[in-house]
Amino acid sequence: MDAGRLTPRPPPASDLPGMDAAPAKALAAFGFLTVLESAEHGLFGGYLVLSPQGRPLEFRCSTPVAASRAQEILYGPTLRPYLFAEVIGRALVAGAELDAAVILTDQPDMLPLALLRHEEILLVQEANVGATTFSLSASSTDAASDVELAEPSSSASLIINGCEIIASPVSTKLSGEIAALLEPLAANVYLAEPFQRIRAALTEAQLASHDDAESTHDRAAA
Amino acid sequence: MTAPLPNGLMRHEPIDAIRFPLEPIAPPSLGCVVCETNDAAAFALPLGSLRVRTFGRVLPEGRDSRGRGTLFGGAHRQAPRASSFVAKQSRQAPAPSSSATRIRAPRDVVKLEDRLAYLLQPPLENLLAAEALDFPFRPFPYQLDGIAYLYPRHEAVLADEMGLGKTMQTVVALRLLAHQGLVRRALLVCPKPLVTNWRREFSQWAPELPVTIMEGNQSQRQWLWNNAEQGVLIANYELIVRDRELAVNVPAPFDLMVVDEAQRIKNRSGATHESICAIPRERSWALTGTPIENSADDLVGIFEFVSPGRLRPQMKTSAIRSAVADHVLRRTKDNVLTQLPPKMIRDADVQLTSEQWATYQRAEEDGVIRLNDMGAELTIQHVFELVLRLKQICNFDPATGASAKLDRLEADLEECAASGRKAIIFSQWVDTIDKLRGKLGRFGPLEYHGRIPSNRRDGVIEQFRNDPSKHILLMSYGAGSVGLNLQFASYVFLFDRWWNPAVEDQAINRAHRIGATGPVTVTRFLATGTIEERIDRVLAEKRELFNAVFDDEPMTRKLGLSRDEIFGLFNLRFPEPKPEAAAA
Repeated sequence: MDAGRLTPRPPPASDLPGMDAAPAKALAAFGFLTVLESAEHGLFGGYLVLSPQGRPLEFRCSTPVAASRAQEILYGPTLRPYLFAEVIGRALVAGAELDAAVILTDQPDMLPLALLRHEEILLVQEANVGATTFSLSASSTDAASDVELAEPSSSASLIINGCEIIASPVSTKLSGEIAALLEPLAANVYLAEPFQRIRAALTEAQLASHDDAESTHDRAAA
Repeated sequence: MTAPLPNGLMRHEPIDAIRFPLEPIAPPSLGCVVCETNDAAAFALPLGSLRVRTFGRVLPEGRDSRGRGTLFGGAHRQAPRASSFVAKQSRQAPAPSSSATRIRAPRDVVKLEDRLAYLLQPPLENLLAAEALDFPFRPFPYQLDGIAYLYPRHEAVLADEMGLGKTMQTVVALRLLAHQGLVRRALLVCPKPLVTNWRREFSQWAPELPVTIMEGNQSQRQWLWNNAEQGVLIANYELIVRDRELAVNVPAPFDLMVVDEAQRIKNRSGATHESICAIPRERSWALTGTPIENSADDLVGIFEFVSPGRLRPQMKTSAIRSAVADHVLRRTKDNVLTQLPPKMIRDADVQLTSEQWATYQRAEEDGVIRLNDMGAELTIQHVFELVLRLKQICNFDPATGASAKLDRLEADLEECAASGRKAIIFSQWVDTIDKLRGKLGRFGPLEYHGRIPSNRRDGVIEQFRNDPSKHILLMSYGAGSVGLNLQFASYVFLFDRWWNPAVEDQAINRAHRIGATGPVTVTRFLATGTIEERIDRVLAEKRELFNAVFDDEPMTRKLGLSRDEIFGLFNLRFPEPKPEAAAA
């Protein structure tokens, strides 16, 4: 049983066409990437870089992106992954000052970003399956995080403190390696929690933008 | 388009394969702002149409947001002064996000970058864990909310109902600020009898913080005012007035000043108010369960300390409400202790018997005539005496012993005893309790009041708890309203009413408290057409004012009668002072 491997081993990421070059940035941290969907404006992207203690180091957000009706038809089911990963995610991560060893997202449509970036892209979902679990001995002795490998019907997945971690299809990492990567952060942060911060910040930024627009309009009217 | 992978993930076809014939969607525009620069020009970036595009950096060693940079900094972090300063690291797993307590920006934080800095912080639970703060027990969620409310605020009034833990919330918020390096020196002012209580709370909830009680002779206090550079100074109100010059001229402003029982500074012309408000400080927190006692102007006095100029005398209620909305946090037990069973309050309006009514009318008419005849000799004590006399007649007719309230009470107690439940009956007079004991003998009455020796009182409670034949406990407000746990009683009767709803609440809370296993029914007797009804009306008007400002539940705060209101019960006016007295 190859329970420790999450995905088939793809070719080295740096060989993939169109991949951004690995930046030479000093500080390794943890990136959280998500998209807020607004029926009125489109998709807002937010990217938050945290220290292992969960403190915010850097935050980026994007202007809204909306596809035209023609684009929706032509792109079909690939539209969302394209918008999430290639348009929004790529721009946000590429523009960040800080390098992140791992980028976590709560949007499955963001996972194709792994084709474009050298960082490990992981999907975080609050686990609600009663899967067979066993302890991962690789965890440190005083770790606060509860790391388990779950075995759903056909494949292995990683559960940390109740959050299921799913690697991208192109990931070369074993589950134990991913657990070790996340261990410093998971000891301090519930991994699904930072996405709430990003959404709150995106909402606040939207409100501020609306207020700015209104005050500009008022000034112009005056 | 998709195919399942062995790990259950759906693999997407390469996006590039179908992008070619399409016009690419333009990438979103981005911008950046470095929060720590405080540079307004940083916002003047060529931003996209939404004008958001913020990216900030909040460094662990940043600075305070108000005038000193970003709040969540932890600048000036002090090296541990002693090995006990940092408690043992908590190693609990991070909690799920549903239980996270968020620290939200006060409304007066206007810069977007600062507001985002608040929103992007970890939940309070993470901050507490990261600072390795251990507590004697886990605070209730509403207490964590209170800590998260106080923590970022420079101007705050914590107005929780009595008993919800204002002291503990303040101590923990102060402790967190101290660990973050944002508060090094705090001054806490409280009534003298509460000084030891505060010291005990600090030792329990912030044992590593140095606490100094301001006391001693003049030179000792002077040294403390000038040289206590770290930790918490606790002073009582009287001392602050006495040491006004020393306190006002401290070498540096206090990082935080907390005023407990802040209704003590409501009088804006008083020496206490002036002394407190003159002390230099960076943050001003006021704690009170009764921010409004008599009029909305009470709140103006408190805000002269918390946020000078925010309120003005004679402001409209709606304007006050709007002005203080972000500066006052008010919770009641009904709001937050949702695990308590329901409390049902019913007002029993009772018509006096004919004998009572005749006696009552005669006593009031004669009494008012006498008061009017007293002229300038009239004092509030004289009016009080008449009020008490009339209230006693509302309980029992002194000549015949007739009592409409008793008739109603007996009917209710029949039902209570038949169902095997227990009831507490409160009165303000032991004489009334004596009469009730004689009339209610079949219900096995027990007594708990000032005439019961203190060494027998525990036995009374135990007997009431365990003896199935003892259905009622007769208590006086004075002896029985504080500090007793009588959760096993299902009924509370207020045979007569106290002057102050807060005292009645405390009496009711003997039965309706944590540990109560079922609903508690409270019956408040009121003799219609009498002085009891008039007092109740005055108190109700005050409650309405309180509710209008704080959107609060009724009957939960301390709102007594003022001198003029007591005189007004009989359409009397407080006599003008004699000319010679005025001259003196």
